[in-house]
Amino acid sequence: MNCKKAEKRIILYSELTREEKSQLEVHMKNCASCSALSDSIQSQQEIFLTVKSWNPDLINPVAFTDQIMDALPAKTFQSKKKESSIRSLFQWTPLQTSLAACSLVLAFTFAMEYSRTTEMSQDQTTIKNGVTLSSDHEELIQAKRSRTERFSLEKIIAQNNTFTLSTYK
Amino acid sequence: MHELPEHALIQKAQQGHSLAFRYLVERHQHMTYTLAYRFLNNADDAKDIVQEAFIRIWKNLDQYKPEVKLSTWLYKITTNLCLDHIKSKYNQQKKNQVTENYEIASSKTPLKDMEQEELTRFIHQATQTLTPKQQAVFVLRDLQGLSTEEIVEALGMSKRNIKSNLYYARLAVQDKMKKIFFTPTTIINHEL
Repeated sequence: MNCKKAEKRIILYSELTREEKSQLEVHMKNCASCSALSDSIQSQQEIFLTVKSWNPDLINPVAFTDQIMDALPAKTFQSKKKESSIRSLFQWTPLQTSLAACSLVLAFTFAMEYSRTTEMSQDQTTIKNGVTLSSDHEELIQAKRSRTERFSLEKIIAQNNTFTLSTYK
Repeated sequence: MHELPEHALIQKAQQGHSLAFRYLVERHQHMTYTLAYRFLNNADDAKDIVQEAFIRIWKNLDQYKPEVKLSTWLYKITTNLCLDHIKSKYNQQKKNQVTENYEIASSKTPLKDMEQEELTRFIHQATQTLTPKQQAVFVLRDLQGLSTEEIVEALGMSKRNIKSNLYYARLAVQDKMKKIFFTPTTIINHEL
């Protein structure tokens, strides 16, 4: 160990590990200047100890406690806790905010898509039946009936034609 | 209620019991005052700091972590308040280019006969040229007797940083003390 390193260790003696201290002791045994510095630092530390053991007088501590208590804000912690829990409802984290925004967008898209699909199926129904869904049900039934009657008539005519042809032959 | 352990008093204070908080103030005010006094060396300034520290504790009691001692929390708040106070003073000194605020003059008081209070005043004067960080580490470690771990907690600095600041602080204080104490003809007049 050189003197520069030893000097640093002497000044920080109280912070050294046991091993560092013993290394320093070995160096100081053979180094008069470092040994003298160590004595000087020890005297300084004794002064610090004297200062440490002295506590300044706190004149009239009861009055001082009163003064501190009077200066405290009147707010109680219970109300503060309630306040903070209510506030926390409105204070979302960025993740919560973005999730909520995504959910809104998804819900809106779904609603739009649903209404579009419903409109399309309405149109298809209208084309298929030849009548609008808003018209009366009886119209629908009548149309169906007249179609069935027309079909039966055509069938009878076809049968008659076949009969006539075969008789003629 | 006065006999209750500290954590029970804190719990009661958290529920809004001001009497429980009063007991906590009574238990810790002198220690807090001593710390502030060692930083500032002025009774009125120290009292102001102590009052502000307890107001901050009261306001933030709901954030109290039971694993941390109340005294450590108080050290932290008090030290930060004192550092703010010192920083503004330090900047003012820098502005006015005052580097030596003690005088070697007419009072013939040898070191060994100096009273503890007088010594404290002198050490405080000797630390005035330190940076606020050096001053904080020096006061907490050498004058208040906190462990390095406690200082880590109170100042939020690494052990390495604390060691480094302590080294330069001790070096500077030693230099000042050499100039004044260890010269046989030296006489000191403390300027308050």
